[in-house]
Amino acid sequence: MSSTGTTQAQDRPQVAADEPRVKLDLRSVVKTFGEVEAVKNISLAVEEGLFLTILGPSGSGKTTLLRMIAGFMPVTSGSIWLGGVDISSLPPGKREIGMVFQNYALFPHMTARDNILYPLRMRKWSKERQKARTEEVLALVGMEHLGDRFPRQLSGGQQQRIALARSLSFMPNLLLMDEPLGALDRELRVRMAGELRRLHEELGNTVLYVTHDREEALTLSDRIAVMRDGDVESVGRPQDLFARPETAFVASFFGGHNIVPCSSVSDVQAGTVRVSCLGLDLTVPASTRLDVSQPVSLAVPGDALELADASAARDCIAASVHSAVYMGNHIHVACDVGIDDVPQLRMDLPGGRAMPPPAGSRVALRIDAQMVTAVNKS
Amino acid sequence: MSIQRTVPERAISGVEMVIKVAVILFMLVPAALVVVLSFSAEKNVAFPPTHWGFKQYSDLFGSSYWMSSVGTSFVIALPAALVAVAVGVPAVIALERTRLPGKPVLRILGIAPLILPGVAYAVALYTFYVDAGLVGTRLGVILADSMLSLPFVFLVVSASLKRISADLELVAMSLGATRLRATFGITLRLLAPAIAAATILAFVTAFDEAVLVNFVGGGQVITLPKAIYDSVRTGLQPLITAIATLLMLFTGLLMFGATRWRKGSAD
Repeated sequence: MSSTGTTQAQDRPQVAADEPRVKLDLRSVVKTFGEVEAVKNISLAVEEGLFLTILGPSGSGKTTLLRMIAGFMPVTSGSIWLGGVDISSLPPGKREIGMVFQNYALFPHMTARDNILYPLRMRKWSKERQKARTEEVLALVGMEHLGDRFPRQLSGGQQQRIALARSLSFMPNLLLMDEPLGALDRELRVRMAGELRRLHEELGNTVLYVTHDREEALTLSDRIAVMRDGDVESVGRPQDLFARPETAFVASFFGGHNIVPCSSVSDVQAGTVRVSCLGLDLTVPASTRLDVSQPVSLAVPGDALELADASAARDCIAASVHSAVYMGNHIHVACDVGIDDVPQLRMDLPGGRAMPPPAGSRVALRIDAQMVTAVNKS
Repeated sequence: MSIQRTVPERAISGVEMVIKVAVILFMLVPAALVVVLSFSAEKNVAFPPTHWGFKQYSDLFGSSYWMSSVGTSFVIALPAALVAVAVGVPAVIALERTRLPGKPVLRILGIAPLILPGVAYAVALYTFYVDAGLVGTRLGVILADSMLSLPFVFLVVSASLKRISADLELVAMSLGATRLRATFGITLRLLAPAIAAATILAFVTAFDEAVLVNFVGGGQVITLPKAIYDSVRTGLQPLITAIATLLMLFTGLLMFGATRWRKGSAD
């Protein structure tokens, strides 16, 4: 192992570019607490150098999964492989995994520098190597001037940088992050997210990031795994999950799309279906996992809807404005369509100089059929 | 403050002030009186003394009976405090950091000696000690006192442990420490000020203990409180005031140190 972080990428065994190496491999991992199945048979492969985010609401099992990977709790069944080695029964300290906690978990009785030295001391690195590496990671997170401070003398963002530096200092095979930005205020969160992304691109390390915040997932990830009730519902690139969600849950939880039930489905062609929805007959792209024998809904992104001329009632949806909020670069509008079982439609209109439509006004909505996806209701 | 108070309100606050002052005087005056009396040179306890001096102190330090009782108290209280800490600290960690069944019951058991009437506990212990052959032995008194000190260790250490995040130990393990090393190097290291404070509290409790020793000491183990108790029964010796003064000073200083240490652990 080299003592510099930037050469870390070269230390990895060379493999052909067209054949990505799997770094972390979860094989049928199950975790039960008594009767409760917290994690249900998850299999997931993370390629080397990828930033994968596990996104899920609280109670979806994402933190349990992370803690099993870190080695803080044993798997009930299945196995966890890291770099081709089964680490399922190794103690946390032997797994060579760095972990960043939401509450930073810095040792309060040690300075920032001593916190970073801790894993290097545990590994009995030479004194010179410890010192060089500590200064290197301090510089990496832009904290070289604050190394002698104690955690209580640092702000939340600074503490998180030190926690990150500490988890990177021993050059782990994998970096786990458990909602690391959750305790920061919004502005700092956005800035730290940008910096995490820059660091990842600079180091080329493999990162597993856990969050319930879809914006964080969108800005940071190469891949996103959406979790629900202890299971991985869908895995893919953020763009694919957003534009072509596979399930209604992914569409609403990750994409923030409208989920509109369809009354009839017919004419299933390769990749498209014909549906009756919102009083319109539409031919729309279908999810690859669509089962037409089950209830079908449309996942409608906020920008797939636009206001039409009131006279052009044909192929339009009649609606009334419930509320309209000017957000600067866009206007967020909620509309009632007056059809049973159809929830309020949320849409984003272009902002800028445009005025939001007054509440209660009658409008006609046009839907861009190519931007919606037919998915199963649940 | 520009808020106008009504007459009854002012009357109530006046009465409140009088009660406060009375309570403070009631608690402090006897203690102050003892300190004053300890510097009397009289043969009997009399107030106000006509002669002043250090007679009581020289009598005390010249008496082998009293000095040996002080020695016995140290020999009892120190091991009792250490036993209480040795039992209490691991018990607290087990209670706070593991999935132990029946935690609420164990928590109450941990502070039970504090709630239990001392005499009831003493009688129960006595009957048990008779069978075990521990009556009249130092070991018996040490064990009894350590149980009495345990609640203080329990309360002080668990209050401190609750403020130490369990994630710290996990992070230490993920950084390469063994479980043992993470527990000792991180959790116990952060608990050290609280453990020091708990040791002092336990020591003071055992040092001051006067009820249990009367039962389980069987008349053979004479600690300082026991000696004071015995001497008061046969009439009030003025030398007692010197002991009481020194005892107040000694425990006061120890308690002051304990609070300082506890404050240190709050950071």
